[in-house]
Amino acid sequence: MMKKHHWPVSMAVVILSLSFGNLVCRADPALPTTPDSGSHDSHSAAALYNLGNSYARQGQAALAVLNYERARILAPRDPDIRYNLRRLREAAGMTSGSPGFGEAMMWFSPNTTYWIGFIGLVLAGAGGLLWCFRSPYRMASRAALGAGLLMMTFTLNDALMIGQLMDRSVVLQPVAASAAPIAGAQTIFTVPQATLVQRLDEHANFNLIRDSQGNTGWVSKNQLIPIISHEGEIDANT
Amino acid sequence: MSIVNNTSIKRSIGLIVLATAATMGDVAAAAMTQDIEPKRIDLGQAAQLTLSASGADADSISPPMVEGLEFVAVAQSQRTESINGVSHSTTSITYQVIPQQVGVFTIPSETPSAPPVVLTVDDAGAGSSGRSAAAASPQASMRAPGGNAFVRLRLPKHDLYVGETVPVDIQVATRDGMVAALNGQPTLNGDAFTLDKLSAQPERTAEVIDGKPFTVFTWHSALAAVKPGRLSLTMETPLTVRILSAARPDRGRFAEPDLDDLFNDPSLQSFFGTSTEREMTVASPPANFSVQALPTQGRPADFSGAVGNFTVKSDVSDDKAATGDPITLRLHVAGSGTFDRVNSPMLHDVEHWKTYAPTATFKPADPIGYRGEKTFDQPVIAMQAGAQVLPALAFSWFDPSTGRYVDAHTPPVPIDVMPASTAETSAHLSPSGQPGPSTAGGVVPASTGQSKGFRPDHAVSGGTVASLLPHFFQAPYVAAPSLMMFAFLSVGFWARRRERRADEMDAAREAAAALQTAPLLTQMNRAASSSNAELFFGAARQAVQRALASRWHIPPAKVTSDEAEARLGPETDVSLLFELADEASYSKVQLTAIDIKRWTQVVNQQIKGEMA
Repeated sequence: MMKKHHWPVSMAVVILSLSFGNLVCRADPALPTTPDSGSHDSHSAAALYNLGNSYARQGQAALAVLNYERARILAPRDPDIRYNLRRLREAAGMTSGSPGFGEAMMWFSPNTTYWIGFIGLVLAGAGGLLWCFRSPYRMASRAALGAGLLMMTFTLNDALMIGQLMDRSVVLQPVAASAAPIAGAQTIFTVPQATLVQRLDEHANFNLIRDSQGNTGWVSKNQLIPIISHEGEIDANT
Repeated sequence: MSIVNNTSIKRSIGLIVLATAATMGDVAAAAMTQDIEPKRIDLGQAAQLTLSASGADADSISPPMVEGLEFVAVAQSQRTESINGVSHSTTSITYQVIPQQVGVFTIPSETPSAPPVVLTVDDAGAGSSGRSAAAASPQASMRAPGGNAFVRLRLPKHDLYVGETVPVDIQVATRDGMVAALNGQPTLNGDAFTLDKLSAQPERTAEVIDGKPFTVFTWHSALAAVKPGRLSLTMETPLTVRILSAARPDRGRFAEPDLDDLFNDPSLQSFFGTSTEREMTVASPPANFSVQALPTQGRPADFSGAVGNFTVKSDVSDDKAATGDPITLRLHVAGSGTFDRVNSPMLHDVEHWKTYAPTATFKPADPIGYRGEKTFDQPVIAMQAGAQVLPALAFSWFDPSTGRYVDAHTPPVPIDVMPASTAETSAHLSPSGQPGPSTAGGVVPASTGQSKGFRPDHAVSGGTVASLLPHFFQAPYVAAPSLMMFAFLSVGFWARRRERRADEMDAAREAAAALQTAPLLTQMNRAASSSNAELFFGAARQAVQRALASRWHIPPAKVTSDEAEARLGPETDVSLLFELADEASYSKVQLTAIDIKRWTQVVNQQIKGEMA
């Protein structure tokens, strides 16, 4: 009888372990232990969006794209951000930057997703415990456990997509991608300004990047601005 | 091609002469001499011991055996003279003497005619540094055993401040053909210094040292002291060297030193298989430094640890701006020194301006990043139209050449800020009335504002975050659910354990009850056989009392008819059984087979814990 009661708890534990273990493993070991103590100001999607607009008006496409992308992290469903980003890319003759399946599925901001998962954890934990204690509210405990597990699954799904965002960068200036991470190596292709690229690897002062066309090559780190810096600050010429 | 031919001819001649010399007879009586140079060395250095025997060949010379010293044969020569038809040959073998410990060593001679030689080995780190001028010089070097490799440091100065960075060239020279491989980069010995930005691939040059060809590998790096005091450091490099075999009687028997040199050529020795490979580490001589702590007097409050010689200036991306449009304020710090410690908070909380976090970029002027320019870019947005001023920027550093702190300030920057609508109008209209610049290269024309179909700005209100770094990647936010999960698991396991223990206790009680009621069931069977109703119902009542007492955790005597009705309800089999037992004890009750079967079943049900 006891075993029958405990399998949902075991399942919740496994899912939680997988999700948070995966996230911790993805996190850069150099990440600070406290959030962003060096930041000057707090930031909002609206402020970043307005900053993107300002850069767009000044003709600085890369910085505009950067700030729109950052604004989109905080407000993924904001239609104005998406619209202006698309208009900016069209005006500059750029490709869309292929946000990708995962990113397109993002419904909430990463922090909102985190709190959904947190609440899910509380619900699943409480439901599991009620079940363990053979509470008279059996239906309620089952519902809480189910809802909690669903919320946690949703969070896990979104968190894995957010992990991909950590490796995204915007190209500051048109840059030649070379075959090797050394100066003077053979140029494979040229990455236009304001292109969104995925950082795959790094060596010395070079990053191995992949663009939306699937081309990979080494470019100088100086030409890339991460959408989310490892320090978590909103920086980089914004 | 001609070089190859000359070499081949020389080698052929050498071989012929070698064969001839080997057949020369009439060897005079042996007389041995030995000499060692230098006679005083530091631990880690090596001396050369030369053993010469006249009238004997190399086989008669064997390396001395001295505890604490290692002897490695590195060269062999033989000189043969013919005087009045009598041949005299002298064989010499040179050993590299590598001390294993500090002390005074006496190296005995194999013959009484030769006096022993004495080698004094000092501790390299205890007062010997001042004695060795070579070790203290910026270009000092230490030969490896065999003299085939050495490491040397090229430093511009030896008087440093803590945190001061100086460029250093680390050179590893290897004798061509004698060093098989470099087995790694030079490494720093000691914890008083840090070595930054060691170039991955060394420069490779050829040098002739003491008439012998060497290949010199040079790494460029920057050295910094981390603590004050009189400090020394050495660099060492692992490598594989080829060491000559000690006994080769068929070599080096020439009167001409040139021929000996020819046959001592590493490539020829390697050709004849006379060398073996050995891995060893070559260390540089200790380089001594006098390191001072940075003075506390006069230290600016905003000093970030930068030590060097810098110049500071600032500029802005545009001295005209509109409210709401960002401009970039830049601080340029150029010069030489510890750029890792060059840092500036830039502006913060400036009236009429919104400031963003600055970023720093460094453009090195040399491969090691000792010279260059660090630029801090800070986006700022004017919040109010009119003549505005961006305040002065400050940067301080310690100048080791003067031994003082420098607190530099840039001049304030005036900015002409226009209202947003005016600026937008002027931005939309180019002087020629034509559209803006081409969009080639991804540059958006300056006129692509709202007039190009962009949606307008949003009102900024609430919903701010301190960092774009998602909570998933911040340790406190990962720790919180982990702790909560741990708490849930702990409570869950505790509950499960408690329930299991309760189940076990119930099972134990039931087993005990069954054990206690077994004799009563036997008694019931006997009473049924003898149709003794009083005995049957009495035993049945006692069995039920014990079973219920065990379940209800009360004494059996308290399991009465009233208690049973209170707990189980009125008119149950248990209360009826109790009544029948009372009735049978006071009156004659007929016991039928149906009664026996029924009440036996009721009793068994109560013992097993089932509800009747």
